[in-house]
Amino acid sequence: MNTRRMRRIAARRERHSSRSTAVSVALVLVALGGAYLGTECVLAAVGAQPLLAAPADLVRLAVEDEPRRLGIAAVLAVLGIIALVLALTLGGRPRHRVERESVTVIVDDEVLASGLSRAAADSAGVPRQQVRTSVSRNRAAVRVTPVSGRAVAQSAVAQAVASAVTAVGARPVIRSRVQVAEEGVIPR
Amino acid sequence: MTRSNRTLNRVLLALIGLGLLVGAVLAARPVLDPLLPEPVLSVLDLGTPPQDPDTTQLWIAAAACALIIVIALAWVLTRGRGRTRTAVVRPGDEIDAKVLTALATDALRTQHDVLHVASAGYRLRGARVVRVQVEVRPGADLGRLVPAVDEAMAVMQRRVGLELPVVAQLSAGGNRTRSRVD
Repeated sequence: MNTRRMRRIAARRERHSSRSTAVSVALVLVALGGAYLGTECVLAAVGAQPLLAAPADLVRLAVEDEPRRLGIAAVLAVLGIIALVLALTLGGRPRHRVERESVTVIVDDEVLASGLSRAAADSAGVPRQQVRTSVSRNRAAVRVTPVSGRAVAQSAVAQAVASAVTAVGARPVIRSRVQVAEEGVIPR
Repeated sequence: MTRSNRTLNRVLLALIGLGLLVGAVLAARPVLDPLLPEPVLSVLDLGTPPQDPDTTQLWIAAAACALIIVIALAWVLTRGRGRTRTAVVRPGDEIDAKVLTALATDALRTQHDVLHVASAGYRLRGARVVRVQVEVRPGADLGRLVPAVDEAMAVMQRRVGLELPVVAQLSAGGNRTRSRVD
């Protein structure tokens, strides 16, 4: 398998959840339930006292008590839907990919946001603490709070952020949006 | 990045989900029975446990539980494999991941935004992949840093003498102070 293809496969694994944790949690719960039921079955088969309730009593409790049956059904349905959603959804991690000649770079969205905040702050002439950036799969939202008494040119900041986004070349492509707060603050 | 079979993980989650939903339908039968057609009801009757199981049925149920426990624990305990100490295998010799870490750290030593570098090898589909983790300073200039990482990985591969499948992850370094290699 060639190097680029291996890089692409590895990058995809880095950008998506393996669902191993979800499966492990589900299987540990299944194993615990199985351990309890198995123990009760063995105790009943050898005629010993049950831990909590004999299997026949457990079945009777679940079958005869209608409110309890519906409660159990609701819990099982919710857990089943959660498991199915986890199985069928993509499970993307907050990361973007940058293809380069020698390496595939995976950039955490937190790092991207921090870099865009810096570009916006430098362009706006405000401390970095006055810029908030959030990065999602296709969007970066930058909010700049100006220093009191100093106007911030929204278009210049937008241009600086767009340039920073282009310079990184992240995939999926990110569109940036810059918002400047109407009221400024006095930097601490 | 591990060698876990992700498709199988999802298939297993889907099976567990479907099993739970079937359990939910069985438990809700008093409410659902008037709504369900006869063929579905006859299938559901097969899934209803006997109200007074005999000894043989109890032993069969206990054996089934034991089998489920063994399969579940075997699955859980074999997750997350694939990481190897040996990152590169060349004809005649092997290169430890620590060597690659040292090479990558050296190649990135002039980058002010880089706080820490670590690397590891992974076995993936019969091949080896090198994963380099680069922790960066908050507000790092990515327009400069990403090409620098590319160049550093090219230098690392030239020094190893092989073209390697390398994936570098840039993550936030938090409060870590820069580690130096002198």
